[in-house]
Amino acid sequence: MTEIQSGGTAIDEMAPSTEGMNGSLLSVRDLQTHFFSREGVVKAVDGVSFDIKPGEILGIAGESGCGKSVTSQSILRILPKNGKIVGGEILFQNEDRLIDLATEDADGRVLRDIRGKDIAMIFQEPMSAFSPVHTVGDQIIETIRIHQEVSKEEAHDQAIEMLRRVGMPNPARNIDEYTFNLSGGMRQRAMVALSLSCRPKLLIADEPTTAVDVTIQAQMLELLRDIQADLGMAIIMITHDLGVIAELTDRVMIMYLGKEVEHGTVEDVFHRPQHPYTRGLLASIPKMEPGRVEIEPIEGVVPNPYAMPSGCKFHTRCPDFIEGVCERHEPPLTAVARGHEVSCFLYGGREALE
Amino acid sequence: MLIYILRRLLVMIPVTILISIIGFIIIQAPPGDFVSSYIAGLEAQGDIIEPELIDSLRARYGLGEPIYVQYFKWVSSFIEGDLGYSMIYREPVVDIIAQRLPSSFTISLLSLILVFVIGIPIGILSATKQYSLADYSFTVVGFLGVATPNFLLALVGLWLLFKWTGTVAIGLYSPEMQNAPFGLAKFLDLVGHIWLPALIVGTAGTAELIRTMRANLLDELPKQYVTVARARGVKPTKLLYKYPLRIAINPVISTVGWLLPVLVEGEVLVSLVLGLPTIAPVLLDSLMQQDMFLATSIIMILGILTLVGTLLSDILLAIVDPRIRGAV
Amino acid sequence: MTETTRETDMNERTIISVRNLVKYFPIEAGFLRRQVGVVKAVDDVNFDLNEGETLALVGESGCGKTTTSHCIIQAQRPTAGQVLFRIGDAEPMDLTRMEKEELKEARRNIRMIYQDPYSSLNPRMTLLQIIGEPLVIHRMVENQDELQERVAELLRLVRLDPSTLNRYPHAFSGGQRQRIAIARALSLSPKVVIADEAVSALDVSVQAQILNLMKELQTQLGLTYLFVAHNLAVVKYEADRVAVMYAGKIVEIGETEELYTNPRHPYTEALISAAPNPDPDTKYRERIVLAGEVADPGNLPGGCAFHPRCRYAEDRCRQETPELIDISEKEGQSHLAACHFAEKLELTGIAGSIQREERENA
Ligand SMILES: Nc1ncnc2c1ncn2[C@@H]1O[C@H](COP(=O)(O)OP(=O)(O)OP(=O)(O)O)[C@@H](O)[C@H]1O
Ligand SMILES: Nc1ncnc2c1ncn2[C@@H]1O[C@H](COP(=O)(O)OP(=O)(O)OP(=O)(O)O)[C@@H](O)[C@H]1O
Ligand code: SF4
Ligand code: SF4
Ligand SMILES: [Mg+2]
Ligand SMILES: [Mg+2]
Repeated sequence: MTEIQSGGTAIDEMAPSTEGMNGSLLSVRDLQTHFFSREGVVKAVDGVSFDIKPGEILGIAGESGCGKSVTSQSILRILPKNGKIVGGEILFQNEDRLIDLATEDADGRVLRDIRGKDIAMIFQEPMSAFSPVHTVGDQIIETIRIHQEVSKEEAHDQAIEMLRRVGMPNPARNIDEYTFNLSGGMRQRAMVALSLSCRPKLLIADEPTTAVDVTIQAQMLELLRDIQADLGMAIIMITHDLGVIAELTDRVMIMYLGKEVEHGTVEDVFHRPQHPYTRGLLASIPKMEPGRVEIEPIEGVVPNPYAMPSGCKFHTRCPDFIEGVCERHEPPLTAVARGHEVSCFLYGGREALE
Repeated sequence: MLIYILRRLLVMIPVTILISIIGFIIIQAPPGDFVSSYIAGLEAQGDIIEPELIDSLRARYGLGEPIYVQYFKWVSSFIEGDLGYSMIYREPVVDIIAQRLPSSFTISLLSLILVFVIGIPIGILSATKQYSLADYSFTVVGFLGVATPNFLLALVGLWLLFKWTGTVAIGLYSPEMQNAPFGLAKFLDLVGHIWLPALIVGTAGTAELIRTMRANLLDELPKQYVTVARARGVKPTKLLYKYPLRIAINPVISTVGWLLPVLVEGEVLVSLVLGLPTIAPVLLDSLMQQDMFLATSIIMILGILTLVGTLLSDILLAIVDPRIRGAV
Repeated sequence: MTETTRETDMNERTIISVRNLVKYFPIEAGFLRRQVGVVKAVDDVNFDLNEGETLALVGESGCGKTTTSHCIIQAQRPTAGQVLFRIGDAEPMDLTRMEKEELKEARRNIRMIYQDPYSSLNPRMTLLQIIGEPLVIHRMVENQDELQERVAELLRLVRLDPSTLNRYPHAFSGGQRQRIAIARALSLSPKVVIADEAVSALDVSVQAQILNLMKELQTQLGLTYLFVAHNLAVVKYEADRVAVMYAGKIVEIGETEELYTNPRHPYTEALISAAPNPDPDTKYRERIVLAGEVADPGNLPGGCAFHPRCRYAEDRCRQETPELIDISEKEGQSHLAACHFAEKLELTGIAGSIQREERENA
């Protein structure tokens, strides 16, 4: 019901289909990103794979520290200095070229050309996403002119047009404003305008609604939905709010401690959750439904990132823990239905251990 | 903006008055009135003082009248440019300051420029190459710069210069140029002499600036707007100078104001060691010998310079930082 | 509740009665810091907190939730109004008129927990010092052994290992720190706990643990909660009654289930509609997206403060400020709303939005 939505046609039009890409715009395969510090190594992302097709909305969900942001920073190669991609591929289909973003030079030409133009990003805090000493317009125009050969005037017009599109009340004036003069909701809009200024093929939104009020969040989700329908880009929506995932996305990947634990369509994952962590997560959210609905927390605490559990990372808290197996081996991803995969020994993978 | 400047000017008035009151108190501080102490000083040196001079002095400063009248008389003569009479130099204070201030000023200004020209790039380098060898070396050198007393540096400088070039770099001019009329030759001579004191006076400031610049930049670099700019495809060099640098430099601008008097202060011992005709040793002398007119005048001038300096740097700051501009 | 008597009569179940509470902050500007206006952070707020219940205060950022809480414990002195507090059968006392010294007892009985478990705990103090501090200040323990014992007991109460007594807060996760904060709040055996966004910064699974812990403690210790939050789903789970605030005023107050299924104020309706639902089936439901942002309490529109964003607004709304009046249809229930058309409008609550969904799907 979901994968269809977006341009099946767009896929066909894409010139030489590269082997294994299956018409995907971005294909992340077994990504491993680690941080190196004095206290040790944090395996922030440790084997994550997903594909996203043009025009599709993918959700990445999981609790604080599970590696959502690091995944997105890896794609754009904007990791902090002590973070390194130590394995895997990030294949991006750019026109008819297939680029492995994981191996490109992080500040090199290829990546700089892709950033902001083909892949753009929205961040959590709209206030801090803009330089406080430059106007909104300055930064949008700068982005346009980095990626397109247009005059200042033309870029200015394009910027105004983009501000109008995201629903700024007075684009011609707002363009010369500083973000600290804008209200919270307007800042969010300006940030969306900034990231969409070059009409990217892929928009990565990292917790864009976490710091705002519900009514602003609703405005923001509506805006993203409209703009997506309008410009047809693919979106990766990163959030810990499963409500937002359910409202916006087509497919979802659930992460726990740097690992992908389950992925599938939102319907599959929300109505037929398989992984014990996904089930626990869904059971811990208070529902907006009439009558009393009890919530059941997942017991225990998230382990320290410097001392990750062996085997299945969830085994220290898992109610279905299989002794002798889960703490010794890492469960492989197993398909439970078409396009619905789970990494848990309850669904297979134990045979291979023998 | 204009209103902001006017308001700042308005605020300066009470502050200036406060400084003048402090100055006046200093003059009043020694036991007896200052004319008596002045006379005592002269007599101690075997001079004969004519009674008329005493009377005229007493009248001029309103001695014997209520204290506020004395204060007003002193202030009004100060405003008129009559800064009083120095007992150590036996000259009107104005003349002494007029002779000394320009060289003081030149050295300070030059130090200031050197501080910025050397401090800012090194600060940037240290921040962008944090924990590199260069960063560590500059941190150590900077630490030494702050910790080493200026007079020691001056002595070391003198010695090194003598060792290498055989010249004794005392004073601002070579002996043969001392009395020459000001022209190109004299100017070149000045340039040849002034860099050493300027550099020495500036060391502490430079070290301080490197430290602030480095810390400010390190604060700014990990901020999200820098990451966002990077995610928009902005080039690494532009990423540095267009964004964080603009913000990191603001606190530096606001230090310019008080840096000036600090530099003058730093000149004291350097001037003594290098025998420079600056105002700093005069201040020292006057304080030690209780030459109150001279001391107060210098303090007041430095005070007012600080005020003007801070005002200028605040205005500059308001011009470059829209957040402040919006708030004023 | 609308009566504005000066008397200190209270309903017998009521433990705290907030009456006509007002808190204005001056807006100053210019060289002379002249007052050029006021921020009406809390503007004539009335409610009763009944013993043993959980009353939630919901609303968006800046609507005055924290200020209301602070005015109750007198951390900020209200501009006007009364805060009546009663311990057992004693005569109610008006906290707003009491001096600092007299407030000591009330402060022991009304404790606050804050949002940020990171900054609210002193990083240089051990759990023993953090949790034991109020006990020492209020001289509730005789000696070190008794203190240790009490603190260990409190740690057990919030499900933390009592052997962690001498560790520092940085060694704990966010959820554990919030437990520490709760233990500290409970150390003086208070009657009322004001939780200001106490679970907002926590991850869902940790949040669920804390929500359940707070409920258990309530039954176990007979606590009364004022639960300040902005997440409607969380409030629905935790609260018996809910008060919705908008721009310094309570716009609707009633029993939780009733208010969620049958909202009587357009703002409540919009809040319910905007809350994201973790169910993909409701994805394409008709949603009310409010334009603009929460009214600025320093510059409120005239009439009903909600009118610029209200889709039912009429001329009357721009002129007249609606009163908070009881519109409940059922006997013995109270459901108050401050909207001129509270009784006429057909508003959609949670049941409605889901029913409509089903209707459309059918
Ligand atoms: N610069 C860094 N140095 C060391 N560890 C880091 C760094 N940045 C992130 N990490 C670690 O990587 C892990 C994943 O972090 P990440 O920011 O991706 O989490 P997240 O899922 O985005 O969480 P949140 O919901 O809190 O944003 C965490 O354990 C975090 O502590
Ligand atoms: N000390 C103060 N001086 C001036 N205005 C204040 C002060 N404290 C609060 N305000 C203003 O009063 C209003 C209410 O603030 P309050 O902190 O009570 O809101 P809140 O509902 O708790 O919001 P949040 O959800 O953001 O915590 C806000 O507009 C705020 O800016
Ligand atoms: S693999 Fe084992 S421990 Fe991990 S989630 Fe499945 S049952 Fe639980
Ligand atoms: S009084 Fe009018 S503006 Fe206010 S909520 Fe009711 S209908 Fe809307
Ligand atoms: Mg994150
Ligand atoms: Mg608050």
